[in-house]
Amino acid sequence: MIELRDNGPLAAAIREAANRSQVRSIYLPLLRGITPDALAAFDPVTQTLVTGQRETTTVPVQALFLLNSAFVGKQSLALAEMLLAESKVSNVERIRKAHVRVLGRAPAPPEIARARAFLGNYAKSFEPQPKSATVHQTESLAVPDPDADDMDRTEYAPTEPSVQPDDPRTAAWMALVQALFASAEFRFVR
Amino acid sequence: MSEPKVSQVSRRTLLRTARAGFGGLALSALLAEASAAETSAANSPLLPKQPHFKPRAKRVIFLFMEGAMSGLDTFEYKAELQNSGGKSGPGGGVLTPSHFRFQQFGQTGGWFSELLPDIATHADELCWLRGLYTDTPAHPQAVVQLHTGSANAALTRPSMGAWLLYGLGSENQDLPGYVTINPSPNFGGAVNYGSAFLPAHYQGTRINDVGFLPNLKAATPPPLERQQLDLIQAMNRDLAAQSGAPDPIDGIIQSYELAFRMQDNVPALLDLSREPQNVLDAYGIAPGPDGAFARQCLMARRLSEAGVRFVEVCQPGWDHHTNLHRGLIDRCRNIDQPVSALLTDLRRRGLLDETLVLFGSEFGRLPMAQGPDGRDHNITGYSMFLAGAGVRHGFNYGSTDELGVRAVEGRMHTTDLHATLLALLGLNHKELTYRYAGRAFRLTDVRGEVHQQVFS
Repeated sequence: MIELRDNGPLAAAIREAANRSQVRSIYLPLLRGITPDALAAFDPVTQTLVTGQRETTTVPVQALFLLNSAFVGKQSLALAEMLLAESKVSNVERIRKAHVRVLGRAPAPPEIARARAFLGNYAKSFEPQPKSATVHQTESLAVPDPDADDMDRTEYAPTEPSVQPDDPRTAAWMALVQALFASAEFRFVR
Repeated sequence: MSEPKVSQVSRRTLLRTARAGFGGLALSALLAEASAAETSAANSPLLPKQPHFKPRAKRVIFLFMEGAMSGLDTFEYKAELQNSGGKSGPGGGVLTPSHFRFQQFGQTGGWFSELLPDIATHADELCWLRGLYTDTPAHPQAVVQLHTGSANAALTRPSMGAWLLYGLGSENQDLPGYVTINPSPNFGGAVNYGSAFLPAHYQGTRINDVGFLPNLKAATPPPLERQQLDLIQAMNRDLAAQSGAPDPIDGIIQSYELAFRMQDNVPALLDLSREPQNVLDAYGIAPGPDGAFARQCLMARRLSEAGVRFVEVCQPGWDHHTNLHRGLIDRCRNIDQPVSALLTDLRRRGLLDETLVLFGSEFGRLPMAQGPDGRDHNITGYSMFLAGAGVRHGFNYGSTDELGVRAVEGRMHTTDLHATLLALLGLNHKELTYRYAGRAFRLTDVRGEVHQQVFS
């Protein structure tokens, strides 16, 4: 019986491909014992079973994923940079675009005011972090000898380059976009 | 077939409008409370639940010796084997006594080899199950069977920790209720701590031996993250106030606050440097691979003390088909001091009155030699020990034959072990069921006998 180790180089390649992938989650690779990180927190069904109805829980690991994962960080930064790349657009228009893009609706006037206040305050409090100190920890995926019985399974928390904006303005926009991704509204299909 | 009428008004809205109609303040408060309780119970499936009967233990720590530790060289003394060296064993092969010296310990005279001098000092506290047997002599199936009750790969079953969490809930809502430290990446991998058809929140949270949990490290400094979180929560409260808002939003709001606290609490809990030096020394805490098991044992105590229902720690590398002697010396050196320190530490803190410790492997090894320096698998008779809450102390339950091949007395199948464990935790294994694919499932499926003889 050949069993795919869930921490070997092959498993690492599959997980990385899943994290890079831009297809809908239903098309992500789902091997026995390997669940893509983006699905793992959100009540994935067990891939080896038939499941009639998925669970919909609200456990804290989901909040941690949306607040701290490199995946959500990268997506938020990408959208923030896209919004800021258009130079001749007002901030109000950018806020509107972000809402339409993430939530599929335009923001109400109080929401625009709240977002503008947030952008100002956040940028004011932001201080660039030294790159080495702000890294996302990820699980170790490499084990050298997949056949060794007495293998060393010590996994020191390795790190992935952090998703860190350099300037206060980008940081504030990234935080705003990420807040939209993390909102309960984003999590419900209505 | 007629569809049930779907209301246009959500339960939340109905309660709100109905409350305004009643007018009475006391009644309105009562209704609000009921509504909040209902919402939070539905979204907090890990709240503590009533067991079926009075539990003897509240929590489990499972010390898993993955790969099948050789009992005949460590804690299983067989006088007949010591005198039968060179003779032909049952089913062929040359009987080979252990090269390690055995000695009796404590008032109960428990036998241990020189490989386990520290665990031996607990001889009078241990409850040995010496008549265990299982179905499959291959690691992947046997490990999965020990963890889930079934070796059948066609239908993945929930792990025993998931069943316990499903049956009992968690004592600490700020922590995962089921933690597995450094689990095997093969031999079933995630199946061994998965929830299978049980809801996903009952699955084990995997951390490694330096206490790493994904996404726990705040991506931004706390003051900045708090600003962002305040914005998220403001948006969430807006949504909750809308008519037709989905019910779980209260749960989501709570989960963000809990996640924010976990960023501090969990790393603090897993930070072994907070322990006094004498405790670190007792466990033999050291960096690097050789200290991995000691770190795991201390983390297990800290997690268990904080109310985690089921903690499993794993020491791999016991599959000694070759290199039995050197291998056993190395592995036993990894585990002897930490296991002993864990038992002592739990007792000192009064935790052994509530915590059940299970120690052992997926199966045992044969008295016959395999090659020049090895032993092959034995599924027909092997041992594990229980210690702590609810079980007899300094007690041997069951036994194998004179050579240690086959369980002859107090025979316990893996499923009987599961039934007995659940009973110690206050759960009737026949009543702890979950409906999936048209029938009720149990950890013990259609088997399992509780061996009350081990109860204190």
